[in-house]
Amino acid sequence: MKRTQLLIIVCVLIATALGVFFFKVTQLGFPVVPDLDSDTWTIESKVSFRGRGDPVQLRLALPESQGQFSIVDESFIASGFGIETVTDETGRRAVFERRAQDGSAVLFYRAKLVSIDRRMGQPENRAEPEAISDYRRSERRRAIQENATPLLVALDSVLTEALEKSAGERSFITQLARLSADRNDDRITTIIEGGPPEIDAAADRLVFMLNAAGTPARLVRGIILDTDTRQAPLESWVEYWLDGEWISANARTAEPLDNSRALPIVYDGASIVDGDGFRRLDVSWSVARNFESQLLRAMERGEEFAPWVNATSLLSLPIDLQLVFRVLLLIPLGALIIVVLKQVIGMPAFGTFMPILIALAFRETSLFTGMALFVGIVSVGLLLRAYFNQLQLLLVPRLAAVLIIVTFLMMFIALVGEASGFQTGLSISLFPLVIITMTIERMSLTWEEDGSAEALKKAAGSLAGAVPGYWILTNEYIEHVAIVFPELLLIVLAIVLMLGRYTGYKVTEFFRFKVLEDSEKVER
Amino acid sequence: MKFGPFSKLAKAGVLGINSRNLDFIAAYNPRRFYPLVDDKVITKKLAIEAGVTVPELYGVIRYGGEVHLIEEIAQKRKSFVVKPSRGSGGGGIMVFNGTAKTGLRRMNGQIMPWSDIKYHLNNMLSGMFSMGDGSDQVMIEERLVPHSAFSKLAFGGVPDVRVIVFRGVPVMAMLRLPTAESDGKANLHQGGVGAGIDLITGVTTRGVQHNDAIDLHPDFETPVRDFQVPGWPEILELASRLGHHVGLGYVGVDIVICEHKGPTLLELNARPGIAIQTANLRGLRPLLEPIHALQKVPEDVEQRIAIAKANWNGEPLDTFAEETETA
Repeated sequence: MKRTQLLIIVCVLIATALGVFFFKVTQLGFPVVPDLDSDTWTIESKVSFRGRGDPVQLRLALPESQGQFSIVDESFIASGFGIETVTDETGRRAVFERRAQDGSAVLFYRAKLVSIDRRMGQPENRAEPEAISDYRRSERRRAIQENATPLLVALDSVLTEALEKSAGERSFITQLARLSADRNDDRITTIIEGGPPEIDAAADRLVFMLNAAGTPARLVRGIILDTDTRQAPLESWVEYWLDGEWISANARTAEPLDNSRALPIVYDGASIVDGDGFRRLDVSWSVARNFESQLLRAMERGEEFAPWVNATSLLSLPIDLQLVFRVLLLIPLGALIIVVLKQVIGMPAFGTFMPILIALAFRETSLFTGMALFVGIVSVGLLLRAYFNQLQLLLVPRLAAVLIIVTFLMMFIALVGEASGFQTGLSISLFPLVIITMTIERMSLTWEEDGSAEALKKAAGSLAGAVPGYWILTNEYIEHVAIVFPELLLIVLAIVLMLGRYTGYKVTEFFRFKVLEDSEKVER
Repeated sequence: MKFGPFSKLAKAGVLGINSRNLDFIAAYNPRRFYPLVDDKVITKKLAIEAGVTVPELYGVIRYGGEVHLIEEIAQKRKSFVVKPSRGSGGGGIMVFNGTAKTGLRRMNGQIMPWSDIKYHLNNMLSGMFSMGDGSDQVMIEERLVPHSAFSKLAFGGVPDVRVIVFRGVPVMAMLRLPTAESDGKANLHQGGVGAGIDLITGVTTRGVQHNDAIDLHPDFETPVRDFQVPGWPEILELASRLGHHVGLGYVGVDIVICEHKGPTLLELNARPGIAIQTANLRGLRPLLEPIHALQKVPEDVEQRIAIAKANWNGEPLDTFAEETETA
């Protein structure tokens, strides 16, 4: 009876999953494998603030659909606010207005961007700068030398040196950047003292010097599109005009950046957000590499033929939620691994889902550093636990003490890692503290009661279970399939349900009861 | 599930842990009865109801504030056992056989200082050795003196007999002998010796330690085979009676054969392990299935034991089924 019910449920689950999956693949053309080199991105800006009950006007700088990037689609979420976009001399801005805002409010701006492939011969449509008289022309050099203020003398000396050491326009810029970055140079100090106040910053100084040399240049604040992140930092770089196009370049070295990855938002020190009537302003940017255009097309087709597909698709969620689900959707697969390891193979391990939680922690580090850190922290914790036991502490305070010590250990590792330039130290901040503490406690109990062999066996089992878990949780293809076809997780559910009624032997029992198997042969 | 490399195990009738959990424990042991066996204080009451010999209960410590009770009991009784009421796998059990000024004397002759004893009691009360979460009680019980027949078979602890009782019918039994390695505990996974028992005669058939067959006790070098377990008929009766009374279909009954009191109930186990199969070199499944097939199990203990013996010999149980129908 239970068996038939279960079989029906399992069949329904598998049929639904495969039905939806095949519909999406064959009818709508959803891609089964990810295109990892895609050049489309989604950026999202989240602006949060508190109103004071006064009228609010908030102006947010937006990326522009010119130059390298083309904005395919953009949207705002700002309930209760009037929204308009304006373009002024500082660029394109969204203006959010409300008569009275009391308490906190959150505004979202979201844009899909496509990086235009230059090889396709896309016309450059960014405004050409006005020509500035070139320092390299002799009349300008003479003019500077005649007005000999300390600033101009220093500037002249630096520019001359850069000019002498360079063979062409590009190497002149590189030389100038090298000289400009050196604050120990007396000439640079003189320029900083005599020039406009903002050139204390290296990027501004480079722009100032380039402009002085007659190369049109501007300061950019924007985002470097790199990996998926919920907290994309705003970076500064410079753009200069060379051979009829704007080149994005590093603000210190003037090395050109990858244009298809550098998304400008504001120029020349303009503010990202301004306006009035609010306080406690916080702006954060998140970036996600989009699923390839094939997927976008599939979604468009879905909009037309099967709106329910898009409505239930995780791709319609805000990016920061999508990023959460990219991890969450892999947890069912991890759970499946645990079920197989425990029910079918019979692997010894501490706790039920611990291997998968360890694997999640390893996702933040990497497999080997994660393992090393885990083994290190657990062994030190075990020693301390043994010592606390001698002090005769009660169970819960002892656990708490181990927890606190583990926190300190992680702090220590992070500090040592930072000091030695070893980056992995920081990412273990997400290492689940409590899990490590419980591991230490359970392991030391097993150690005392069943001996070291048993405890080490279980620890090894837990770590060994974490390895396939880690592999699944970090695989890009599996991640793609899980987020584009979440319905396939119903199959995982079906398998888990089936294994829930598995009454067959475990692999470990095969070895455990080998004697009986052999005796059967002797008797017959 | 008779496929691949497992087919030989199936042929030998081995009961795997998955099958034990689903086909027998989930099917025959209602969850609500678990507290009856998991909490040894309740088990003791139940056993007295069923007319079964149990070790005398000297006292129960419920809270940290009652820990001092152990001193009074120690003065009065000299020799006793402390164990967590909901303990599992023998964890936390400690045996004392004398008092000293600074503490209590353990079985190995060492004096355990009072502070260590109280720390241990507090650990037990906070549930460190107990099933599930949360706090527990500590029982202080009579120390069972094993039958003299075991003097050359049990090292530093109390041997016991584990009987698997299915629907009130004993199906398989083994003798568990503590060793130096198992630190006086009779549990097989801690290095104790398990000896299979012929269910009809009560004579041991073979011994195992760590899954390996052995003929001699590792500490005494006395043979563990062909040993007549004293009081065997009483053991079968006790197991059958209690297994029937407790309401759990599939239960492990642990019995100590006491020098003075005879077979005495130690504890019940709602999830008895499957290692008993290696000790007996026999699969449980062929013994469980005929009883599973029985329409009804007789109320009379003697009849159930007759079924158990016929079942052990592999005889068909049809005659018993008819008897119960006519009766």
